[in-house]
Amino acid sequence: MMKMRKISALLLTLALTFTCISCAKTEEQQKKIKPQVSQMKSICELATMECYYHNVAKYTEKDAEGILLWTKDKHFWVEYSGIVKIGIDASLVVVEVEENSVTITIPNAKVLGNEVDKDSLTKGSFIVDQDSAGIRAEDQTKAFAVAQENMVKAASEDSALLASAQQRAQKLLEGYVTNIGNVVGKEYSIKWKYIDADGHASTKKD
Amino acid sequence: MYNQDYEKKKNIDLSYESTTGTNCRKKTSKKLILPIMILVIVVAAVIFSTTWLFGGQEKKAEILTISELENIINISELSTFQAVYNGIAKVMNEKKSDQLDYYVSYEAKVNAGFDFEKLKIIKDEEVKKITVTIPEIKITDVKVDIASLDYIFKNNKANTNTVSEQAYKACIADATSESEKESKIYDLAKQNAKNIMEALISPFIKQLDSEYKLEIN
Repeated sequence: MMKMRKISALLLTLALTFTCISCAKTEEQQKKIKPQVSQMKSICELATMECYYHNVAKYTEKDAEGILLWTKDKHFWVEYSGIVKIGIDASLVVVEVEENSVTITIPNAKVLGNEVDKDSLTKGSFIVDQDSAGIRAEDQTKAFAVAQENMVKAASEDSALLASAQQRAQKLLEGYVTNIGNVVGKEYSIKWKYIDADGHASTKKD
Repeated sequence: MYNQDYEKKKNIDLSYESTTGTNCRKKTSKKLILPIMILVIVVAAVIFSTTWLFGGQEKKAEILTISELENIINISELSTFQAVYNGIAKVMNEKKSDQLDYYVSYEAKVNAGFDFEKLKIIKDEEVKKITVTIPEIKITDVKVDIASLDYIFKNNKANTNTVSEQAYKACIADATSESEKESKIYDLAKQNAKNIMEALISPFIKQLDSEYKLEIN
């Protein structure tokens, strides 16, 4: 009789434990679903825009030929194309989640890489002014280096393009946080902090 | 007397039989309690484990419905991609069409994108795959910055006060036709669109520990 009671008690305890584990597991799964830094970094990497960049490098050299009053300037344009990568440096992204508030600290978008398409530089790419001094092979080599430098400079100074890349990254992060909130029935509020050129984070954008 | 004794004995025997029968039933029912309890616990365990195992999958399936996925990717602003087309247009003489008047350089922004309404999402539950098909990429807008025009004249007579108006039209035509011919604009826009879709969907697949795979075409 005693033995049977002991067995019954043991089995009931086991059943209760099983129930508790089941409930704890479900709660744990729910808790796990929240905005994650690793996912947000991946999103920033994927948000990097690969932008087709067709550009014109303008080359001018004063008094390239001749002497005194009979000098000639060298003046030509080179048309070329390439790819510029613009985005957010994902390694600098910091995310803090507190209850229903998510603070995302991100740097400003910048040029992350570039590549000039060598094949786009042909003889036809050069437009030479009729009053220009003669263009030699070394000028063409120099023009390629100028083109590469020029493309990065032009993209870095293109505030509209940089703003578009920044907005894209922010939209994606915002979408991710909102959708995670929808899954777990939370409404997250997002605070943005921007890292300035000196590395300081503030709520105001440069 | 004999009969009375016999009846008494019979009654005693009967009552003994009846007591013995109740005891036997009690013993049998006590013997049955243990298997019944085990059965109940086993059934309970099966129910709990089913809820535990399949309940989770129900949650995953619920999140990965087509409408949920459509909500996740519903950021139409992300369907446009910008390309920079700073080019050079040739302007020929109006009277002598084989004679070049001048070259004009310009700065232009070209937008390429797809129609968000035509984006297709298919969920194959058998092979656990979500397929997103991005529609055809098209050039949607070309904007030339009129302030960026710069000239190299071949025919100095063409340098008149109306040159910028003529040059601007030529630049728009050049930027439109050149960018439409440039396959790299389409290829990069498509690649960017794929990355965006991956950025929107894959965190959910990963975080919800789903077995689903994502394919973007």
